[in-house]
Amino acid sequence: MSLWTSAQIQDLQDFGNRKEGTAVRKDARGPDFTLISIEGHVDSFAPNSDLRVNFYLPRSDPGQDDSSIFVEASELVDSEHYLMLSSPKLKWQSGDLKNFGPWPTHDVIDRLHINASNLAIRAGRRIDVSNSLYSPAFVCTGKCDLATRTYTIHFKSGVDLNKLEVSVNDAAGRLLKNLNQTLVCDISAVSDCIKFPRDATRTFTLDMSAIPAGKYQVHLIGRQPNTTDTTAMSFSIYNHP
Amino acid sequence: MTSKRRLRTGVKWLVGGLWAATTLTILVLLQIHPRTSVQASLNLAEISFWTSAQQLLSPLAEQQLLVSGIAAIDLAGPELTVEINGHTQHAGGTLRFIGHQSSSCSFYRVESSSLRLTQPMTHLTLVPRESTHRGDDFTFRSHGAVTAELTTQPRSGQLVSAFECDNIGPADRDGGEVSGTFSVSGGDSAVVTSAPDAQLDFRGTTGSSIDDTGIRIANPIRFSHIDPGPPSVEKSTLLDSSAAAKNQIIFTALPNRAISLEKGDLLLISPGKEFYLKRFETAPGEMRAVLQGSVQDVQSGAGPADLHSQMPSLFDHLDSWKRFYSVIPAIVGLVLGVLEKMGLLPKT
Repeated sequence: MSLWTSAQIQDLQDFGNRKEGTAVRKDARGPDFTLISIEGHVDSFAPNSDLRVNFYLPRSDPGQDDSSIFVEASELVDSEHYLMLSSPKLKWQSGDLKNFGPWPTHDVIDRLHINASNLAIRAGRRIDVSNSLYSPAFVCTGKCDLATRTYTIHFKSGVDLNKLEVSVNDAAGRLLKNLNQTLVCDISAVSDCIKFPRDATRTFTLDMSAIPAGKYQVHLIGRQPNTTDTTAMSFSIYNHP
Repeated sequence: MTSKRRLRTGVKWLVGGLWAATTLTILVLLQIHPRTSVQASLNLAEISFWTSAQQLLSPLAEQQLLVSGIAAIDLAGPELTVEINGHTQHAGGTLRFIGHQSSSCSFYRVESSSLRLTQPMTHLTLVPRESTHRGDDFTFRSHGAVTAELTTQPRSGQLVSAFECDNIGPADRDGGEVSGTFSVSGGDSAVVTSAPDAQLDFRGTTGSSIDDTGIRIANPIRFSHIDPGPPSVEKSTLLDSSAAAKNQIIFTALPNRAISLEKGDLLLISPGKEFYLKRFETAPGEMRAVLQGSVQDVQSGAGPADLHSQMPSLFDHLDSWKRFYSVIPAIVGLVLGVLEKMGLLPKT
């Protein structure tokens, strides 16, 4: 059934404000991290819903226009190769708060049987080919509560990790020690436990409620078991007002 | 004279017609590839398929079982000690925790039952891993919920059966960190029901091999994975043949008809009515799979644009029916006899 459905939604179809369909996602191969989703909140939704994505972005720097703003959606666990890319031709709202829609689920999401709990969302502004400023996205079906500043980050590692160190710097490069996290196996039940298995989508939360709005740099350092090898990634995030 | 010439002309047309009809029949038979039976023996890096099976894998004992994507876990044990968001509770009974797609758990030193697949159709990916420690490692991905029943092991020195979870919580509370230890004497139980999409990583499996038999395959199966791009490339998951274990597909209905496959060959099998993963067993980084049953098509090639059907034609099937050819002289004799009786054959 699902194979048949996927066959009907091969590649990306143009729906005006977005391209949506199936495409193979570029995931980490080897030791790199892949950022899967950065979200403030995702409403659970029923079939035939109309989704809206809300996110904040600071005023753009000179040389940046609306075409650099993006919304991307995929799956937390990539089962159907679902992908949605907002159109670079979109005209965005002039204020900090951006709203993307309409995004009717009956076009693709319902046909691929993708649940809200497996929906991955990334929004922000592309700085250059390899760097983006991510803004935690709020996916809503109706009125959207944008109050939370505790964000959920979903990621994937190309190798097994027994430890993940998360640190945050502000725009001036200062380390915010109170946001440091070290995620390890709490129970030493086996000598070489794995906290984050390779290729599995895993999650950590970033509580930025106590720090001012603005741009921040998040650093991830993963430690591999039984070696001194590490894997690392950094990304920019916008903590909304 | 005229009637003789007419007769000769008729015979010429008859013989020519028979030749043309035979040639046309052979051409048609070569183009028809009927459903047939195969047995495929393959060395693989991984395998992905849709199945209607309701359970999978033989019971295993593992040092660590990681589950990514959890709907619920039910724990039961007389000495169960649980810590929820840093607060210790000596539960000693039964406990239920609710999770979601982003929830994950690690279980240490447990024995797992066969996995129960709760959907009518489930997409599975099985990936044997290079082991980094004692025992085998193995990754199981499921598109469709899976239930695993775990039993804890008795304490061994400092090593205890234990668990730790992220983003789960009691039904009436928000998710958080939950961890705990099971009874020292072992025998506690944990029933894990996965989210609709889940990954189970078995680490350090010992004492039994990771294997199973008789798994029904429901849809076309491609022995490949997508190497993300750009551009995305479909890569074969076939590994090298060994002297003891060759990559080959035997067409069981046709004696001596088999195809050999090499590492890197892309292979596609479209099942017929009944097609099974007859058995598989894993070793570090590889698996040996035997698939058997009826197939509609078998295609292989160097890449996605080079796939060609390897199915025997109807002509091959007829060719294998030795008795069919013993009938041909009898049919020819019958036709000649009829022509003779009708006086249509020239007198010598």
